[in-house]
Amino acid sequence: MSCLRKFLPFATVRLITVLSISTALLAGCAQSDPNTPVSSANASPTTLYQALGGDSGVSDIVDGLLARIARDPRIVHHFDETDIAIFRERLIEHLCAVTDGGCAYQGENMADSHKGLNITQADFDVLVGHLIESMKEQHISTSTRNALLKRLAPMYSEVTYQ
Amino acid sequence: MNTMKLSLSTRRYARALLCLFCPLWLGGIAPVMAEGSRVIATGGASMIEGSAGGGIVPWAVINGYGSSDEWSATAMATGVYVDDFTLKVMGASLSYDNRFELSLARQTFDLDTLGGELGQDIVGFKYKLAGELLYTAMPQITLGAQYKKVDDFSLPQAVGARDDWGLDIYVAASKVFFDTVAGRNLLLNATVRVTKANQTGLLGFGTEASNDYHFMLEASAALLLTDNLALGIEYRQKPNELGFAREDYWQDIFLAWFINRHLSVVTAYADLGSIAGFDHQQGWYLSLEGTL
Repeated sequence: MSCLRKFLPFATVRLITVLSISTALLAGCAQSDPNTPVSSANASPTTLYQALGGDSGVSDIVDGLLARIARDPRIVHHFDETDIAIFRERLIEHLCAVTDGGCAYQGENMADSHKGLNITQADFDVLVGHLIESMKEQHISTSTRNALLKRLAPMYSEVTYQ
Repeated sequence: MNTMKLSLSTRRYARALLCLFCPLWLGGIAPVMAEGSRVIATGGASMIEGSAGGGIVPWAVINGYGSSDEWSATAMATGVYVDDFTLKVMGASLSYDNRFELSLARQTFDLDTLGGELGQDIVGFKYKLAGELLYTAMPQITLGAQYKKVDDFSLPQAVGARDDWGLDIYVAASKVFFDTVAGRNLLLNATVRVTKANQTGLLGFGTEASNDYHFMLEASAALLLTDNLALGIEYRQKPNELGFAREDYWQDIFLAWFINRHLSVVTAYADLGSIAGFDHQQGWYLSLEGTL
């Protein structure tokens, strides 16, 4: 699918869904890119998870995000007590669950996991900014980025000022 | 236009121009004013009255990119060039905590065809009451006020205005809807204003016959084509109280380019209707804004 997107940089996810029905056309193309996420061979709807690049795509986005957090003195202190490896796995799993990737999120709920951390609006804004930049780095399209932000934005009230 | 008036307005202009550099000076003394944390474009632009908004409508957003406990400062210069008039605006604003906004604007309105000019100073204040532009189902809701005072009351008085100063009060609601049209984010804004201003105050406030406030509706819609490019429309109702000439609603179509977190440009095509007896006043709007 990422191969298809090279030819259709402005195509929306929905348009790609329609196009991916013609799997015969896609097959040869998809094989040329080892990072292509599992294609919907049975013409089922493309998930946001797939649009983000599936397992490897979401991992890369999370790694880019973590690298940005590590370099940002405004928020890095919030992770002083955090086991980054576990946090990384939980975040990937969470994003997978939120984007219909078929994962079951095993972690605490958002409000509990942020209790006592005193995450401010500024912290949240910084994190959103880093997430956007990390997605851009992975060449995630504007519409896919917006679709993910749409699903994550409502968590603001469960994450901040807990 | 006598020489004294001209030199006065030149001095005012020079002052306003100087103020364009105020934020730079403030930046020097306030290390706390680091780059704001908010997402690009979420401060909107500075509208003609100095408040954060589109071009002609104040929005519920707070200027700049300051988030909680952060400061932000902006400076802007705007020109509106319609058939028989030119409006020039210099403005600056300061905001704190993504909650409070103080703005100053200096307007000069050149009567290109009639000759002469009008001017007014505007001090604006904004306070965010509730909601978050991006994150909550409730729109961001803001209470705002604009104190306006005209330079020279002789012309407004001659055409029937009652006062040389006035206070506009408004409540604005703004919300960004993610992934709405072709995967793009959509900003919607609605503002309700109470005002006595004739032509936003350039022709004074109230009339000899009436000193009533009027409820006016203003609205904007903008589609974020990319993270830093917005295409939008605006609409602003205005009272029509002065007997000597009709006053129309205003509207515009704008393209805003948020080049980075420090510089933005807004261009628009504006239809200001009938002004002081001159019908179909249409033309271009150009605004530059610098943000700290």
